[in-house]
Amino acid sequence: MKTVQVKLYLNLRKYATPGMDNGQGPVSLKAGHTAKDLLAVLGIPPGEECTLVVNSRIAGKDLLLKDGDQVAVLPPVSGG
Amino acid sequence: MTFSLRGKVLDIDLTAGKAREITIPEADYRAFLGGSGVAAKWFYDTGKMQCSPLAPEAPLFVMTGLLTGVNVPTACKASFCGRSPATGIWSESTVGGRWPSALRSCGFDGMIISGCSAEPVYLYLCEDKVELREAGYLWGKDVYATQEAIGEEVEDENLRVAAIGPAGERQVLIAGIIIDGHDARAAGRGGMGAVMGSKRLKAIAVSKGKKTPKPYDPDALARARREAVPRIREKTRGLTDYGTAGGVPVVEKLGDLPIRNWTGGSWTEGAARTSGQAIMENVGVGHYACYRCPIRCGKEVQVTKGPYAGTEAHGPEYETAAGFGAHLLNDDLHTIVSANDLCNRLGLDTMSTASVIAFAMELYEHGLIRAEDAGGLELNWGNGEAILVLVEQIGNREGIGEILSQGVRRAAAHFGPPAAEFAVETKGLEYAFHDPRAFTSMALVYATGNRGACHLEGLTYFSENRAFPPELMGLEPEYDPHGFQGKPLLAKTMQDYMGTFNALGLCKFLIRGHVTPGEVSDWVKACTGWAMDAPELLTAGERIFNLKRLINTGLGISRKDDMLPPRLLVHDRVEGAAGGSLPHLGKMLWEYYRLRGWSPEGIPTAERLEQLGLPNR
Ligand code: SF4
Repeated sequence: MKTVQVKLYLNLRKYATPGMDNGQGPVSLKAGHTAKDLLAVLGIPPGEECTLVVNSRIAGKDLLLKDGDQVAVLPPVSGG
Repeated sequence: MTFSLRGKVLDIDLTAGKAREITIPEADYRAFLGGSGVAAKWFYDTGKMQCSPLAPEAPLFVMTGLLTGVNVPTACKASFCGRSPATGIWSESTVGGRWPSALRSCGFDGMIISGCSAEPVYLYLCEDKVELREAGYLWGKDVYATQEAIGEEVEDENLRVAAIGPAGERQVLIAGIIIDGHDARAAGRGGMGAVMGSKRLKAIAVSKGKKTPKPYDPDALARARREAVPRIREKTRGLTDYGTAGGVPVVEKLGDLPIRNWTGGSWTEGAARTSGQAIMENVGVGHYACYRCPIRCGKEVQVTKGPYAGTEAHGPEYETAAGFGAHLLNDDLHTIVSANDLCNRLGLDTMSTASVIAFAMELYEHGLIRAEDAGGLELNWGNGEAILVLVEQIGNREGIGEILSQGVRRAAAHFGPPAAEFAVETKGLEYAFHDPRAFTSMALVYATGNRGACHLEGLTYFSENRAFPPELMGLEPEYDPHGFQGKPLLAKTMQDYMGTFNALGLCKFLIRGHVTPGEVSDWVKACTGWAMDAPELLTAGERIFNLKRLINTGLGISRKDDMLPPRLLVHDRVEGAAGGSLPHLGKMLWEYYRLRGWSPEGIPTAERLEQLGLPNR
C-alpha cells in the first residue's frame, strides 16, 4: 500500500473522496498503482479531460506513483 | 444579396467634418468574411499603410464581424484596426459587449475614420444616420463619466458607447478603447485608443436600431443553435461561474503563469489568493454576458481600494488578474480589482500596463530605477500602493508614467542597454500571460503573431492541454508540452482558424465549447446562403493571416522580427511544472515557414499568394 496527497482543481472537485477536505487529501493506492489507476480510484471517467502534475512535474498517465507523492489533478487549462 | 447583408460602411473625414456611405462588395465578404478580415483588405487597398499611425491621414477601421448581431452564439464582436502607434505594424483590437451589435443594428457594418477634428468631437449614430457632435465638455472625463454624460445628452438609457479615457486623449501608446461603461469590455491592445485621441475623437455612441441583417435560413440556424448551445454551456461552466480568472490556479500549476516578470516558476498560494474564485467569494456581486453569449464570463465586483472604493465595476479577467497579480508578485486581490477599474476609467490596456509596471519593478530591483526617479515611490515587488499610483501616472503621462506610457520597448530604449534584458515584448507588443516555455507552440504564435506577442491569434495552449482537443481540427491528439514535434502545423492550423473569428464577429471562447470549423461554416451558410464548407472557411482564415503578414512585410517585418525576447527564449526556470523547458523556436520556425509557403526570410511567396488569391506587389 502507499498513500499519495491529491489536490483536485475546479470542476474536478466533484470527484473528492470522503477523506478529502475542499478537494484535497490523502488517497490510498496499491503498490503497483499508476497515475491512471489513481484516476480510476477517484472515479474520474476516461472521457473527462485532465492533466496530472506529480511533484510539480507534468506526468504521463502510466507514471508509477510513490508513497508521499503530491498529485494535482487539473481540468484543461483555462484563462483568457 | 442573399443574406440581408448591406455592406454599408461610413467613410468619415474628421478634418472636413463629413461622412459618406460606401458599399463593401459581397465578394470581399466571401473572401475576407468581415471584421478585421475585410478591414485588412481595405487597409491594404488604400495603400495608406505607410502613414504615421498618429497622423491625421492614418485610417482607423472599425468593423463588425460578418455575423455580428445575428442570433448566432457569441456573435457580438467588432474590431478596431489600422497601424498601431505602439508597434508601427498591423493592429486589430477586437471587443464584444453590446456596442458592436448596436452599431450593426443601425444599418452600418462599420466605419473608416480618417482626418483630425479641430476640436474634440464624438460620433453619434442611430438608424441610417450619423452626426458629429461637440465633445469639448467630455475631454478629460474618464470612460464611465463620458458614457453617462453622452447618455444624458442623447436621452437614451440604452445608448451604447465606445470611448477613450484621458490616456487615449494624451496619446498614451498603450491606450485602448473601452465600451459599455461600467459593464466594460476593452479593445485594449495595440494603442488604438491613442489613434482615436490623435483624431480628437472622444467616443462613438450608438442608439440601437432595427437593421440587423436577417439570416438567409432561420430554421437551419435555429437547429444549429439548439445543437451547439447546450454543449457550449456544459463545457464552459467554469467560465460562467468564475470568469476567465478562474483559471489562474490551473495555469500556475502548469508553469504557464507569468510570475515576477516571467522569472518565477511557481506561486501556488498567491495564485489561489488572486483567482477568479477568490475574487468572486470576496468582492463578486454579479455576472454579465456579451450580446448573444451563452457563456457569460463577465463578472461584476465591488471596488474596495483606491480612489473609487465603494463603487461597482467590471471584474478582472484572467489576463488582468495574472498581470496585476503574479506578474507583479501582488497577492492582494483588492489591488487587482482597483487597478483594473482604474485602467478601464483611464482607457488603458491592462495587459500592457501591468507588463510595463513589471518591467519597472525589475529595473528598480536592479537599481536601474531609483525611488527618486519615480517621485519617491518604492517600486518593490507586490507594492499595491505603488501599482495604483503608477497606473494613474501612466494614464495621465505624469512623472515616470511619461516614459512607461510608451510601452516596454520604448521604455527599455530610454533606460539603456541593461534594461533590454527585462523587456518582454515581440514586435513592440507586450506579451499575453501564457508562457511559451509551458506550451511551446505558443512560441510560434507569439513570434509570428501579426499584431505582435498576442495569444489570441493562435490560442494553442488550449489545444495542447486539450481544452480544445486538437483532433477536432484533424491534428494529432497529444503533444509534449515542452517538445517541438508537430507544433508548427498546430500553430498554423489554429492561427488560420482563429483568424476567422475576428472576421465573423465570434468570441474565441467558443473553442472551449468544442466548436469546430464545420460547425462555424454551417452557421455562415445558414446566415448567408453561401455554400461555405470548413475548408473554404479555413482558407479564408489563411488568406486573412497572409494578407496581414503582407501589410507587415511592407512595413519591414521579416524573420528578424519573428523572435522571442531573451528571457523567454534562453532563460529557463528552476521551479514549477515547466522548469527547465525552453521553446525550440529556431527548429520550429523553419518548418512553420515551409507549411505557410513563406521564404526562409519569412516573406509569403508569389506562389502561395496566388493560391490564396492575394495580390503580389
Ligand atoms: S465568453 Fe465572455 S468575452 Fe466571450 S462573448 Fe461571452 S461574455 Fe463575452
